[in-house]
Amino acid sequence: MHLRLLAVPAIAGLALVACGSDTTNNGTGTSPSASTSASSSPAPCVAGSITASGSTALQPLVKKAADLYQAKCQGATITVSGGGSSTGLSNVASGVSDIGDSDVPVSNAKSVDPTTVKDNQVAVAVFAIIANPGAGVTNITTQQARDIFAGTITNWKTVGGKDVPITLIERKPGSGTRLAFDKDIMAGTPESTTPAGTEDSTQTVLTKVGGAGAPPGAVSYIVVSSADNTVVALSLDGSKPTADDVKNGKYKYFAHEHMYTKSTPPPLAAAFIGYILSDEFQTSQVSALGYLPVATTKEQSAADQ
Amino acid sequence: MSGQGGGTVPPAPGRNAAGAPALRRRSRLVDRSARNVLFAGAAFNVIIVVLVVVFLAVHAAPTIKNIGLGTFFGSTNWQPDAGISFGTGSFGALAPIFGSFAVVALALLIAVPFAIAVAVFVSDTNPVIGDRAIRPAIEVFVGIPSVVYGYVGLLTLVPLLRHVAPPGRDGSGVLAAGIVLAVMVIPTIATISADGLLSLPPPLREGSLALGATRWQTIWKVLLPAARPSLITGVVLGFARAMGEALAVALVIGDVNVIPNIGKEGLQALLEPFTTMTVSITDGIDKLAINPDGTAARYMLALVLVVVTFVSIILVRVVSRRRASGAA
Repeated sequence: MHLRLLAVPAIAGLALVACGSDTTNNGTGTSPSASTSASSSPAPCVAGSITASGSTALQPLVKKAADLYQAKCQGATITVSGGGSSTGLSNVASGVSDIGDSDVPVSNAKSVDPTTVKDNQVAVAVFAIIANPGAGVTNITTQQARDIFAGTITNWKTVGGKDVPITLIERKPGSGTRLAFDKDIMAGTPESTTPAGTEDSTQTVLTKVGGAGAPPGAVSYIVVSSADNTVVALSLDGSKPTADDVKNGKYKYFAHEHMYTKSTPPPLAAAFIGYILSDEFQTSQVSALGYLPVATTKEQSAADQ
Repeated sequence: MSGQGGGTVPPAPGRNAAGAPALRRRSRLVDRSARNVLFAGAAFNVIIVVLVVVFLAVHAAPTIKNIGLGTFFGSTNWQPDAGISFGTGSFGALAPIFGSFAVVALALLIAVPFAIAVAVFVSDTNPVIGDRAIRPAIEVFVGIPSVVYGYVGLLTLVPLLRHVAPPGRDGSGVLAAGIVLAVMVIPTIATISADGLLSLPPPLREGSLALGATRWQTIWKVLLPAARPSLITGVVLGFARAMGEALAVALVIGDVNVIPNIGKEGLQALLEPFTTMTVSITDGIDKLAINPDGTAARYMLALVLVVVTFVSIILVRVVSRRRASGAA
């Protein structure tokens, strides 16, 4: 079965139609703290009332799941709100929310005791380095990416592109996308402290890299489902930011999305997360919302640690 | 006020004499309660200001304890969120503090001549057009939300400035922020300056012209000096607005915590990205819960902002009082 996983417009060399037809849907992470066992049986209905808060990036997925679950199950009330990953993590730890949605693992939240919460990985977010088409590149090596964002490579011709200066647009420290980038790609090399700009909104990043007045050498990184045809999503070491290359382990710039609960969550929270992990929701909704099903890869990226 | 002399005023002829004392009593009662309500309102305002300062100081206290004021005001290493993922944060706030003053100074440098020119036009050059067209237009300008200025700046000004920016820069930076802020504060300064010029006593203008001064000499040598307290008030309020603006600046300044090297780059340094106190504070909003040190450092920045605003307001009061007493 061919499944259209990521709606990225046709950029040369980026065919994003992927085979996503696993028969078994056991998206179990290798991380010992992660519990992502999905059941292929229909999720049971549990009545009650729970709240989920946190990541605004993940919010549409949680909201969609809540709508579908409430339509299916009478007596279940699931309130979904945003606030950001850090808010979600501290809310679930303090008991303000039953579920804390987060783009980053709890190990990043120093004020939250990771032993008090349970990790449920519910989807895979794939990121890409995006460049202005004027840079004239479609593929770079991971080492080149490191050198570009460390500020040591300053012209695209060094990596086989046109003779245009590189305009670095970084993400703000603390953003989930930057965290994944720093761990998956930079691997300890610090990003340049003097980029042309640091932005936290995906839309501003797109404007600054691919917008009408953007410099031809602009480059940044973004969740791949948001990349449009104004920018080029670069391949890394010849592997593309697609479901295929994530699945076969070649493309490393991705991270799991998390829904944290207390160690013993309320029955409805457990059933609700069970529903999100069910085949029914993973195959029909997760990819439509810009993520890959959690079963796409069992590998934990550096950003998941 | 009317209640004070009320006892001595004889009842007006034809009015019900018996009703007058009751009326007076009631009006005195209304007077007193109105005064109390107004006093409570005024006091409430003062209390809120004091509470804000106390609140900021309490939350900024960990900064003073853990980081030290020497580092906060003496170091340019501002990485308040670095501690979230790798290593530890650094909290030397000189870059955002200097950034705020640099951007606002540039904005005022651009805005003040424009604004005073507008004010002179409205008050003296062509009061008819000024009153019918320019003033209403300026008032509309004051009401435009700052995000609009920022967005227009991001989409039009920044791409324009890119053509003169150093390689690898996209046009965001000090100059873009200065221009956007200048456009934002021109209406504030112009309105107050125009009010000041228009409220000057007519004999001042007439006397100068009668003595044979040209129109320009009258404006430059008589009217502008006489209106100086209003001009200074306008500039300081413009300064405060520019200092406190976050959103419009955040969109066009690039937000990089490194002081541009003016010695090496000269005027090109104006096209380097930079940051301000307000932008640095808003950066931390989504990290409040997981970054206590960064949050405390941002409260400290907020406290600095409030103090700077206070000092500027006190300054304007002192200056205008001295002018007033000097003139008298």
